[in-house]
Amino acid sequence: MTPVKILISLILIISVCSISAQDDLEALLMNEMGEEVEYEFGTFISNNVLNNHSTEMTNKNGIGFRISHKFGSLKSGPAAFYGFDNAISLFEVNYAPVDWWNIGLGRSTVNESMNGYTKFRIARQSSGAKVMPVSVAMLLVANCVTTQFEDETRNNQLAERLDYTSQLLIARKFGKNFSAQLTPTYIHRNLVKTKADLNDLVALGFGATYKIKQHFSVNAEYFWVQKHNTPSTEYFNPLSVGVCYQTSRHAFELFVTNSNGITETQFLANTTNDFLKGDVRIGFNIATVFTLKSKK
Amino acid sequence: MNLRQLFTVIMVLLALCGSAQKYMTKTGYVYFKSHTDAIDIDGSNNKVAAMFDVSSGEIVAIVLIKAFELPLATADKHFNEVYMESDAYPKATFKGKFVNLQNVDINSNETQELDVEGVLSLHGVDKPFVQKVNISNNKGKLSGTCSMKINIDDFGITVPENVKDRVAKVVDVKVELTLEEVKK
Repeated sequence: MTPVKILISLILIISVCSISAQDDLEALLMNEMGEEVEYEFGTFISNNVLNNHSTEMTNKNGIGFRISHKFGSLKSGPAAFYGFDNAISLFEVNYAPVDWWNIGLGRSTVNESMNGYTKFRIARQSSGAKVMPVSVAMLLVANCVTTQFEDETRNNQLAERLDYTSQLLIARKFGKNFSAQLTPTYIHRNLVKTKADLNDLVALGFGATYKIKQHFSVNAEYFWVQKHNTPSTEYFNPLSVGVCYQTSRHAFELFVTNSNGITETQFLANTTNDFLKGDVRIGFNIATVFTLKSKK
Repeated sequence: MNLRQLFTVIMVLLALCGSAQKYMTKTGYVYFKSHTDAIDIDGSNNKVAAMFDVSSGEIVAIVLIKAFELPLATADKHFNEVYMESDAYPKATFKGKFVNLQNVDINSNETQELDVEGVLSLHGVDKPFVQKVNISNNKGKLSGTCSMKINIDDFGITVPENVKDRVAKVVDVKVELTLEEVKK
């Protein structure tokens, strides 16, 4: 090959290179950008599946309010207006100092209890440059019963009034409309009703949501709870089925459930109604969130 | 032609090839604001990628929709799911050309106005787009800024009936890009 031939072929190669580079500036830029991390949005509509927390969290500087009601058993019939007269409720406020951390404070009318919780985001479902198949959050709840004990000699001990729930919330959004959550749970109660009741309980929760249309989903939640060995009371696994609707600022959940508590220890460990026998009640949550100050 | 001459010619060619001078950024900034009497909704994104080819005057900018941060609570979810539908349309792109590039000195540190025209592709809709851009050169970094108004109807973005008075039809958008020369 003569130098001239080499030269000509080089000119051809270089000109082809430069032409193609100029022709597709976009491709060149895309190449420079590389792959981005794409986080999944809206695994669940609100911070709760129905009773239990979901992996969703209040965003940084957000302050969230949640009002939760459960009426009495539908079985109570017309005398108690199908449970309307025996509502229990929870009022809760939560705050997000940073995107991955929420703290909350709540008051429930069941046993006049106060609860505080903290929720951390451990992982967020993403694709692209960083692939993470699930969103994971950790929830720690401490609940304090402030009602007078029946046995008055027990009254002054704070420790006896406390119970704790620890949960790992593991959720995945499958496609656009369906999300599921797995919730391994550990409950510790400092004081239980009888000797046969367990102080420590494990539970495993299954939650799911299916978006029927924008802002409207059907949700279901079930917990398998370790059986107590109690002769006096029979406990059941809580099951809840309902719908969730979202407006620009509020999320509403309307559901039927057999659980008769609102905070985690109450509905997980103290559900005494059998869903299959129709011993259910209507539950209703309203959640709203405000922004305290704008992110810079 | 001896080898030395050949070498010289190759070097000249490579130099010419390299002189297809390009500027680029991956941290450009875009800000939008929807103003209504009921509520102001704004968001910003500082991950805009843009590339500018000096010789041809071409410019390309890519905006990843999910990279927008909206300070208002729950607004990011609505922005991505309802309005921008970022799963289906993950990015907005602008492909265009400066029309009067030969009239300005891109090495000048004074602010100069340039017209750019091209196609803006947003929410899956391509629209011809003409825009005035202010450029200036600050120590070898080329900055371009522009403000525009985007009519969301033009790009097929619909607002649900119940929030019609909370989302503006015409959204103000500001873009600030600082491009650095691409080193070969």
